[in-house]
Amino acid sequence: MTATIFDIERSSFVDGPGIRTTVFFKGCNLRCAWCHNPESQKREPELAFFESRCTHCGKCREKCPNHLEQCTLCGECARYCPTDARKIYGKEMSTDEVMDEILRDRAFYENSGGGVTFSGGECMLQIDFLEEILKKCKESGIHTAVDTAGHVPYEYFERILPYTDLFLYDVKAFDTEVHKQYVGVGNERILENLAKLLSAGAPIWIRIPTIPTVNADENEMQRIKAFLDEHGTTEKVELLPYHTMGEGKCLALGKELVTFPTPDAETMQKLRAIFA
Amino acid sequence: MKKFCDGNIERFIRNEYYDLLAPLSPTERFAKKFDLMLSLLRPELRENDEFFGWLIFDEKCEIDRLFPDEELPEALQKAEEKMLSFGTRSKVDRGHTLINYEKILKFGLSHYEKEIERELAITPNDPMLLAMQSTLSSVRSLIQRTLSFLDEQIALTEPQEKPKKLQTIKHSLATVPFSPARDFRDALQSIWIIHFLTPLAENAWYSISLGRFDQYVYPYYQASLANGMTRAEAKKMLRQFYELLNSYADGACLLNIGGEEYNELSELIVECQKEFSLPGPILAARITEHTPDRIWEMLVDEKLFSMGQPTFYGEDACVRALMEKGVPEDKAKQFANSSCMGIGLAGEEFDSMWGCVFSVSAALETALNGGAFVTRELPWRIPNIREKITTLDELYEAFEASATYLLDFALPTYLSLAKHSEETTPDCFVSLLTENCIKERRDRISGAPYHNVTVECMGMVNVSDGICAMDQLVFREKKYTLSEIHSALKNNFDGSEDLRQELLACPKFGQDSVADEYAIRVAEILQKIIRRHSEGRVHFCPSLHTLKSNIRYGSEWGAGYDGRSAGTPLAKNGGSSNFARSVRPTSLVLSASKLPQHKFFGGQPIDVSFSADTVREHKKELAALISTYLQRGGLQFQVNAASSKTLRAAYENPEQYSHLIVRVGGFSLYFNTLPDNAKLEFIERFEKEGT
Repeated sequence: MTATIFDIERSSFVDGPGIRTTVFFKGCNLRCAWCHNPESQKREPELAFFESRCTHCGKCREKCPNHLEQCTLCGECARYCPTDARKIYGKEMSTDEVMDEILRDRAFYENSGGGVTFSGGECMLQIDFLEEILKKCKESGIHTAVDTAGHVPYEYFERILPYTDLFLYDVKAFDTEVHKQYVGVGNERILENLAKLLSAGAPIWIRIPTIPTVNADENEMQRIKAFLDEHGTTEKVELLPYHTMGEGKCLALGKELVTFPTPDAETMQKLRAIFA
Repeated sequence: MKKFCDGNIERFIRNEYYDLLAPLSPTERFAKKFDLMLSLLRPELRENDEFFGWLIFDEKCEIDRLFPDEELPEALQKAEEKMLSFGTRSKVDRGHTLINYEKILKFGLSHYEKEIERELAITPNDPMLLAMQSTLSSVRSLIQRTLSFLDEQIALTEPQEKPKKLQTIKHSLATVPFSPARDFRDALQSIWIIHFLTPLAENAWYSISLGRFDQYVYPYYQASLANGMTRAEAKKMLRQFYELLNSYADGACLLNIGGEEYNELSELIVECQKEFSLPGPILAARITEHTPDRIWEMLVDEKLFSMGQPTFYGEDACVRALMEKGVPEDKAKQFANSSCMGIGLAGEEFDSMWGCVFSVSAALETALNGGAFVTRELPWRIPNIREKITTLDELYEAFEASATYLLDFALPTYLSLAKHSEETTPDCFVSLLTENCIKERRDRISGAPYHNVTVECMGMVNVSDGICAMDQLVFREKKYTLSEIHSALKNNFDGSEDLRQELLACPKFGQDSVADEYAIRVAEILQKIIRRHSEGRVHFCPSLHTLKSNIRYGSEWGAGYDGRSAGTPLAKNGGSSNFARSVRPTSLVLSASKLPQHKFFGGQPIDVSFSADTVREHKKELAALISTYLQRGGLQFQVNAASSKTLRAAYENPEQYSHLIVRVGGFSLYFNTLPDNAKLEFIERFEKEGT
């Protein structure tokens, strides 16, 4: 069995407790306007071109079997680009290949209380693979976390619940119309799944991308808090300030760039206090 | 920062008293020189001084003069030139001294005086013993002169001001360093006098370390606390001690804390380090599996990391390394870390810490080219190297033969240089404080129980990455011939960019990949050849320590088999090459800990940079990362924290960042003191590895 993976990041300190390896699955069924991993959205591998790094040496055209007229995602242009201006995002990997990567940092997981985090895109869209690799991780005694936006059938959660030590669950906006406007879909299923998951007693860290003009206000956060309090207990609520680091990748993939203001430290502090 | 006493004093004495000193024997000359230097120092007392510290030398002298017998014989000059032709340097590296302060505090210098007297009773005319005796007598005179100066100061002070404080200072200096220390003030006073005199005697103004300060000073600290000293008063004394250290020599003195036990003084030192924000001393935090969480909490600190502090050392790994060198276990456990990267025994060593810097690239080039160099033209070649290399085994065999030939030239040359140095420029002061030397009437170079010659394997990781690339592209995939590779190297890849990209894309050390196996093999070959030269008290110590010399040595060498362009930096310390992609902190830790670190007992740090936010928010994770490295046998872990933005801004506007301290190698320094190319290299590395 294989999955489409666009990155495996070792030494992550930000995707759950301890030192972790984060496996990024390619493909997402949401289109968040602020997405900082635009390469994660499309399921298929894709070629990115970082124009600012290009020195126009012509090596890519020379090496491309089709002289850049038609892309077959063979990766030759990226391989020979001296400035990494071209990059292929996404490759098919088997569970064994991914496990090999995960197991490399086992010593660090043990010393730091870390483990592996499956993220994306939306890792749960590749549920068969996810279920299998979670099982393998548990067999190897590795702490597992699943980072999800929750827009999937609840049955998927039921399949992986026995093998998942922690969910990192995104709540992007409480108002469904706002959600629809910026994410592309309403949030009914997402909140319903979250309520069920909380009722089931699953360990959950809530992650809220915090974006001025979208959700960075006290009222919105209060509503999220009330919802969480009503349905169970969360271990932690993390407010992640919007940043612009995905802009370069967005342009490189030829996607439309939408930007938002970044929240100031004072706002972040005030909003975080709501969940303290 | 202006130093209150530095190399000017040696130059001045040599120049002003040349005719007087030139005819003397080397030991007599040392004693006379030392006496003259001490007599020219001007004592000074400053506001808020807690003990006596300032001995100022006001003159300036730029003229460097050698006495006729100090000139290197022609044969040695030629040997140095030959070494340089293959990118290698050797020297008798004075400095890097680690005095046994514990013994001095316990017994005082009078203990050494008596020992010299006893030996002189047996051989009254021994020149070394006489010079040692004279040296201590000069120190006595200096102390006496300073006490008189203090009396004058006391007489000048109005009774209502602070005569009591001056009396206390005088009382301490009247006791130490000749008699045993009684309390914390005495201990600092005694250590400082010896610490001040050491580089003066060595004429080497760098890396004078303090050893296990928190352990040997602790009894005196406790005694003072019992007598009413407050923690705040102790801190005031440490403040002056730190100021003195930073106004003198290069500040790169390593101060050990912890090990099996962190005491109250260790914690006070960490507190001072944060509060004072000075580059020196360097904290060497010694880590065991029992190091408590509260200590990790103190040590993994945004402010400390931003100054490149502390350096973390693995206690067990250091003991194992010393045992590998041949030190008995009970003795090895008494080790102290010293600057730049020493693992040693206080008062028992002469550490020639940059004794030899060996260009490993020279061995690979000649191995793959029938004994001839590729990127430089030399009128000689290494004999008996196979003309055609077709397999990895043949490559390793030729590499070992080449490295053996080059090291068999460089390391015996070092021994000749050491003999010359000992015969012409002895240091009778440091020698008398070094075990064995009084009894054997010898200089520390041959008298110390351990004469360590660190052999830096410069560019080793570039070479092992290069061998990995040759194995893949030439031997297994057969995409290129060696002749094509050599042609590209000669032209610094001009017209061969495809080849260079293929070389760069091969696995690299630091990625926790197959490349590590090549690094292990190369490391094993080198340590075997180097250690074969050790004999008696002389220990050639393999090392991967580079400090920032990887820039200089890289600038002097041509293109490499790993895809490195001519003139660009070689890999730094025990880390990956600058252009290795996908190196993460965990992968670097795993790669580096696969190396036979204990056999590289000359020292080998890895450097990891973190953003300030990471240090603030992920203490537990960083502690786990560091402890995992040390548990796996890592010797030394160096840290840095800053933001890339800050570093870039400091590069552009140095005048606005005069206080930015970074960790460069064996020590922290002000970023502005780095040359531009080193600044850029530092920024590039930080941006690549910054987590």
